[in-house]
Amino acid sequence: MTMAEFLEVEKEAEAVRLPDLYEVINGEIVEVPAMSFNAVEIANILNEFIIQYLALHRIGRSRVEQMFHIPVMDDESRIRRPDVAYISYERLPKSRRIPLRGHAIDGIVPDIAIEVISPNELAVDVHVKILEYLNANVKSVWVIIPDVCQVFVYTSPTTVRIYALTDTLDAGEILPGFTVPVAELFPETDDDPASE
Amino acid sequence: MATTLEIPVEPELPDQYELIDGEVVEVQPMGVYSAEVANRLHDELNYYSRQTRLGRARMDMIFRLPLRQDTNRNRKPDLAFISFMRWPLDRVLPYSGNFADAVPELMIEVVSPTDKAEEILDRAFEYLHAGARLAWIIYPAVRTIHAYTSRNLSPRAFSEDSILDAGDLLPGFSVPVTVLFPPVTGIPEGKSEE
Repeated sequence: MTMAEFLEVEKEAEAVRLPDLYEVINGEIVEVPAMSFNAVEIANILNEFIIQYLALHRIGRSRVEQMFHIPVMDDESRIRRPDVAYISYERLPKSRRIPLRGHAIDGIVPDIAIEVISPNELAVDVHVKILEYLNANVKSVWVIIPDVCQVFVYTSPTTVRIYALTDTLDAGEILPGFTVPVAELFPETDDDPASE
Repeated sequence: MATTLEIPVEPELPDQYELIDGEVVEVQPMGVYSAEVANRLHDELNYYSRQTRLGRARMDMIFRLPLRQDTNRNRKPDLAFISFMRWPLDRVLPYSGNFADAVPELMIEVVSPTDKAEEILDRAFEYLHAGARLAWIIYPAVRTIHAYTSRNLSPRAFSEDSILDAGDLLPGFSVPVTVLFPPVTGIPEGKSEE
């Protein structure tokens, strides 16, 4: 169903089920496929690191699976759900009242959008999203690829930096002083295909 | 009593395949858009080859890319450029052979609509590991090319406004990225459909 239809029905207080995880693309509610356990683990590990940093540098919030309004040329009302997002208080002030209803706050775009790739994810989907985030004024897009234990940081469509297993990931000026050894983001995995 | 004559059936190799750890793995042909992009780049590399006579560009050719854990690995990059040093023009070829026994310096993958994000990267890194000097991943959906020289080094990224080059590997090779990508419709909206 479309988002508009859902909101109509929601008004009538019927018990309508939305998928657990969804985005809104061209007005349609689109279910987001579930992430692998490992990918969720990595997203949470990274979120913990950022939260620790933000406890000492109170400049914003870090959120897992929150929805954001990511406007795109042909789809002004697009809503995306980055695996992890950092939103500075500059972009979303601490004192700003959060609407009680609604899926994303209009016009609030994270400073950093982070996607952790699951094994079945298509390359085209990942790269379309990277461009979308950047074009919507996300400052930095992090793509975490568990298979090769690397983090790709995009600050523009042509500026991409790899942080490999022996590197230390940082967020430049966005989170000054923030560092995490890339190795700490990747839990040990057991490679047994039967466990997928 | 008649006996049945068993005609031995030779297992046929798929039209397009690779050899991974001794197993024949069928690979999908590129769709029309990806194939057109690969062909245009192939045209450019061919033109370059004619001018400079450094080597040859080949599409859909199987190469043996020995890895420590799999010395007989056969891979079929979408496009490759291999110097005459690595594969001399007059090297004798086996008539019934399936692969070229040389590692191209430049190996190129054009991402297809169904390619998985992690697998494409694994493949590029495997090429480098086996001895390629440069691996390009072309993302037609976003008109971007990533150039890797090593697994842990940040790639150079070329977008629609850029001029693609191969650095020292192909001196003087240069192509505006935009000529490689024809107009396209129907690019997915960035959600994986299961």
